[in-house]
Amino acid sequence: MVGGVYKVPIQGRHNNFPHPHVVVLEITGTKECVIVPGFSCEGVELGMYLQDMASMGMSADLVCVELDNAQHVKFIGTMTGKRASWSVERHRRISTKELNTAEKIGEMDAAGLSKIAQGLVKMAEAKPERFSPALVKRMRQLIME
Amino acid sequence: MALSQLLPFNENRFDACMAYLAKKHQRLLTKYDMVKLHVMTDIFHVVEQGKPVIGGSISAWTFGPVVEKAFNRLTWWEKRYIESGAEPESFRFADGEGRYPEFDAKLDVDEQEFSKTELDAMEAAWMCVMSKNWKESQEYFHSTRNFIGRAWNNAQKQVRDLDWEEIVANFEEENGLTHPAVKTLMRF
Repeated sequence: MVGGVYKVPIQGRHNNFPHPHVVVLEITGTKECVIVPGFSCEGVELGMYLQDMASMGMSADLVCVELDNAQHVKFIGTMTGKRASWSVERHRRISTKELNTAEKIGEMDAAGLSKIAQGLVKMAEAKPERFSPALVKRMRQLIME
Repeated sequence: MALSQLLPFNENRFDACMAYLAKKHQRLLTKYDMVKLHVMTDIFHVVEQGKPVIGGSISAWTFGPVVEKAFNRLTWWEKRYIESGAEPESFRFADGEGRYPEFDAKLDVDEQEFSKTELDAMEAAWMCVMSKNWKESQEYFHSTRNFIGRAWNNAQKQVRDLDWEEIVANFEEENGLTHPAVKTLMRF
């Protein structure tokens, strides 16, 4: 499951369309995954978000990891990748059962995943109160692998 | 459009939060306690961080706000226990007082599995929910004098789930706070 890019339906968000999230970590013991949402770098939505983050004292390079999806994500079907911001600040835990209901749209390579994991650790160092210590430990292990 | 769900219901996170709280406070929990602790934990985390701890849409049921999937999970535990004596992985059934069974946590959840903001939200929920008796709790969740009661009343009238934007706006009004970024974060 790790590396999979899924369209996760979160009602009320993104005009009710399922949104791409990448699975960064699978926690087998609790049957959960840590997912990070990705946004087009040109989107208005992303601009508003980054503005709000800045008002809370968090810079764009701290809350997001920018990747060229064309390089790092192999999409299923006809979709093509473009530059995207993966918001490590908005990481979420989701049950594997729930994720299994979402549509898989691609697969991120190890280099892309490692960059996102590093972004999560960097964010956790800056805002430790927002991350569980156990999660950060798992992320560090992921980077080492 | 009402913003009814910020994250799909995470049953594993639900079990972990409830087991952690029950063990920490050395208390048995009823189904009612758990569904209300869930709702208030998510609310206290959303008003600060723009995202819930457990997730799920909050329905406006007769006895107050409830995430239906959490209620169904607990009902399924009960049904299975009554039919076959089987208990869930994380809880054992205790006799309980009166008609309602109580759950005793058997799952040891490491505090390190939660962020500080999540622990704070869970503790605030505990103080809010567990300090009230049944009558006080029902008054709290139905009263138009407080933020959650108002959101519940509107959802009931309009036959819909509770709206997160309304919950946050009511909370901020009640507490004299303005945290505009949370409204964007909720949508992101």
